[in-house]
Amino acid sequence: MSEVLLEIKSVSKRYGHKGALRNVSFTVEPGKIVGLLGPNGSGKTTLIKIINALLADYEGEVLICRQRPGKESKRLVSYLPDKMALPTWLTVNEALNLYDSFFSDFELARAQALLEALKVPHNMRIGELSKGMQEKLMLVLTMSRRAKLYVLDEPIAGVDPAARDQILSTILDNFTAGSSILLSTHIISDVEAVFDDVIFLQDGNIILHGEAEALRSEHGKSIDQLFREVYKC
Amino acid sequence: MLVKLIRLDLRFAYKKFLTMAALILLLGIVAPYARINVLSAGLAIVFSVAFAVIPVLCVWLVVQHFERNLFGHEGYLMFSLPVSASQLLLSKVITTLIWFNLMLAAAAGFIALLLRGNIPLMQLLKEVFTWEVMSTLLKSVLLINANILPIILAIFMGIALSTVAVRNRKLGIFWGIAASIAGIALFVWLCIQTGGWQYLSMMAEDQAVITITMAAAQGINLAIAAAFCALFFGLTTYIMNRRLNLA
Repeated sequence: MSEVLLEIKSVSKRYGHKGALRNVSFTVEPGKIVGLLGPNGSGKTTLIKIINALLADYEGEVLICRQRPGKESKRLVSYLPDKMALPTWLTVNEALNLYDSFFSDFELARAQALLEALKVPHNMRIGELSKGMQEKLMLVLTMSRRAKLYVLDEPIAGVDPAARDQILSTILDNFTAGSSILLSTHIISDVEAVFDDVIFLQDGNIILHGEAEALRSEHGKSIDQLFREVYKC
Repeated sequence: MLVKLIRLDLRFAYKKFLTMAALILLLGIVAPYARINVLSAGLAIVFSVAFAVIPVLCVWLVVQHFERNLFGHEGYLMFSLPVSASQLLLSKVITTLIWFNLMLAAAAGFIALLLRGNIPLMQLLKEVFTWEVMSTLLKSVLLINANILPIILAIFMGIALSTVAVRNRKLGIFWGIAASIAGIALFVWLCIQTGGWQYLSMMAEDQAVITITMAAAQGINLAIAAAFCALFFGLTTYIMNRRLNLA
């Protein structure tokens, strides 16, 4: 059996009286692309924040390469948040240098080539870029790391279909062989072909979890159709 | 990593702080002419506004940067960097002390420029740049820094505490501000107690008694400051490590 990259054991999280995650458990093995699927408010972002040590107050256990989320695990995880996290007063070049100086696995030349390919201007301040360009910049920075685990929170939400293809190909062409991707989304149709495993979340519970191909065969439906049926969209 | 974090924090506001320091020095250059100028009343208003606004602006910049950089959207990046919570906090504290000392130096420069009408600037510099004056000055600056540090950390602790209550941010902000004010008030109260003792010691006739009492009072003051720093720093890193709830 191959070594587990990410282990989520009985994780629960409450915001006041509201349960955001309830006893969630699953594992991610190396080389897998895992879809974390669910409608808004299902707990996807909460789980991702826990993996990235942005939420510390939770029950259960999270292990990334046998390490709890913290300083060491952050060297292994490349995280794309669903928000613009870069200081907007930085220029694009300064953002590249920031990643280069903090992450030893960051490949500056690859990032520069990706920025060229995606036509993101180098010398502009981040605050002056359009929302779409800012998202592309974040994606380039995330995918230019040679990480063990890529955690991508809604990378294709709010972008047009043409840009979705561009973003997806950037993800697939640039993730390191042997590493894994945990990708959260509620837009399934464009990405379902890339998933090895899928996890369906609803109200903080895992309601369906398995290999994408097995679920397609078992239910005789695509993951997108299954998603619509489960959540009655 | 700490040096990299400090460099990043310094880059956030160095232009703003340098501009404010330059403005203070500019006011010092212009000030002596205010007495003979017909615009003296107007300049007095400019001075008053500048001296009221600059400290508020400095505090606001520091508070805004701390809140936005760690607990706002930028926190998603900062807490994803391979650094510890104490390094993140230490970087903010060191940067704030750098800004504070820059403004302190600008204020000293302002006073020197004001005095140039009464004492020639070269003579003033000659009198200041002596070993005795410089060592007293350095000691005073260190004491001021030691006493300002717990106040900075109390403010940071309050901001961190305000983010813990995820469901009720207003309540969190209330408790954050209350904890900051209570912490600062307790620290200042204890400092006043030892400061009062220091003041009383000056009335003693024996020089040796004055020296020993002053040194003891300063030692106690430093110990109190160190204890408060440790408390506020510990509480803030605890919140960042164990109670972090980025919105």
